[in-house]
Amino acid sequence: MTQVAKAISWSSLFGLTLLPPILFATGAIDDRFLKWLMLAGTLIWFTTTPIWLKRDNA
Amino acid sequence: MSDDRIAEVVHASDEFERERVPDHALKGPKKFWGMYAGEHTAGTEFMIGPMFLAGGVGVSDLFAGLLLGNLLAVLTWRFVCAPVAMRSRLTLYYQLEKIAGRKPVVLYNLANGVLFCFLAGAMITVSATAVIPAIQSMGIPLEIQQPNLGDTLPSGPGWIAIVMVIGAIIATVAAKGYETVARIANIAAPWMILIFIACAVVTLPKLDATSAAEIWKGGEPLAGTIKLTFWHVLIFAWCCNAAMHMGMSDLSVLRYMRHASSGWAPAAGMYIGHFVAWIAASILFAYEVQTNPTDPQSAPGPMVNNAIGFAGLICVMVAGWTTANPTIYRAGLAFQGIVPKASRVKITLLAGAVATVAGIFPAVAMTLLDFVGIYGTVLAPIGAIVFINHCFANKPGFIAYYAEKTGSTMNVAVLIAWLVPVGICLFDFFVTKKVWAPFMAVPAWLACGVLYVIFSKIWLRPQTT
Repeated sequence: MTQVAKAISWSSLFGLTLLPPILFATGAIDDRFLKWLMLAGTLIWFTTTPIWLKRDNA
Repeated sequence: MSDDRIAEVVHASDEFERERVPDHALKGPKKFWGMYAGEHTAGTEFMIGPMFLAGGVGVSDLFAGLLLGNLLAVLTWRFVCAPVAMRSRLTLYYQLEKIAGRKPVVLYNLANGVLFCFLAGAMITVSATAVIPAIQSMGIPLEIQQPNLGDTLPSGPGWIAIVMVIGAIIATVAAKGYETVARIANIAAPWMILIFIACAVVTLPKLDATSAAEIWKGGEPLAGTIKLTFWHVLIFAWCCNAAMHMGMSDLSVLRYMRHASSGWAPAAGMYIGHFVAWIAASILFAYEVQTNPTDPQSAPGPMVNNAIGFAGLICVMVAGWTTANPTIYRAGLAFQGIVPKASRVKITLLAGAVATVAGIFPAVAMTLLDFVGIYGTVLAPIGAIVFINHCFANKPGFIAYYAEKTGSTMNVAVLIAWLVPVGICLFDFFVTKKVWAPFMAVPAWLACGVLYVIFSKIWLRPQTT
């Protein structure tokens, strides 16, 4: 469970937070789609990260 | 909250305020790197970047000033604050009481706690600028005017209500103690940094610039602001956290270090946080100046909303929150230095209430460079006293922890050494206005250290209790 949550967290961070601005800057996606992707990435990060971060820091 | 619940929280948050941190409570480097990265990627970073632009700083001056200024800050944390933290493992407040006695510490703690509350208030103000467009984007009609550079008073009841709700949430979390604060900062830090970078990446193509130097060229400052240069950027980057590194306030955090190498952790805050965040915020404001050259708006919420939407608004809120949390926590520790037997939870909630009232007024957030400068100038010099005590502890003729050893409640040497340079600086800040506030922190720190050595030689004699 922890490993799955961790994989989802990092995937959302890079796939839905880092990548969309680059795609926007290159003209591949528009402003509206950019904002939806980044919101999705944010929600996934804050939902999944608490599951594994506590264990890592213990 | 019931008395049982309060007692339970106090017990859970028993954080060695008046004793050495025991070995079993020491923490590894991960906590510190995460906490510093989160704490210095703050909501107020969204204010500082635009203020440099408004002061007419050019791109090359901003980059060079930030690189060197942040390096000086990291070195100060590592080689001034961390060695003292490792040896004593005490909070600044308790250590100061052992050096200066009870009476000077009460004065210092009061100044410290109040200034921390005002700083946290600025962070709450910044968070509130994001809450307004967040509510509006959910389809709720909300007519609240955002604060802008130079504003001092709240814009109306709606603004006051939003700030009060945010302040209540932040104060409650801060009252639960270090573990909660570090955990929230750890969760948010990596995401928050990428959000700042995203703001810059999304905004850069919108600017009418063909090279980095054309993003903004510097030159004349905007109306109502003073001209800033490379030196202003360098000194501000070094001294914006003067109270924490050379002022030793971060003893409260760094005393938990298992290894001295964790003293490098502030580099995460300085380079990933301040460096990236200030430049990203500058780029956001450069676009605002381009689109609205006659009356650019500096409120962070609308700027990030325009760039990346709701995710950006969440970032401004969380960035303000994760920084205000440890700031209110520190203010709580300062007030507890005045009333040692009081519950830290209750004291922290009180500090949160003061911060919330300060946050209602945008004056601090909108003149942040000056406030941060005077905050460092007032608080940092007392760190020189602790540093001298640390360095001279084994020197013949010097009495380390003077007040504890002699039973004195008033170490006059500390009081005068602190008040003389700080008094001169405050006189300049409020009356003569010759020197930019952040420029005064280092001279005040040096003067305080030198004066303490001199006054110790003259006034302090061994006594028996």
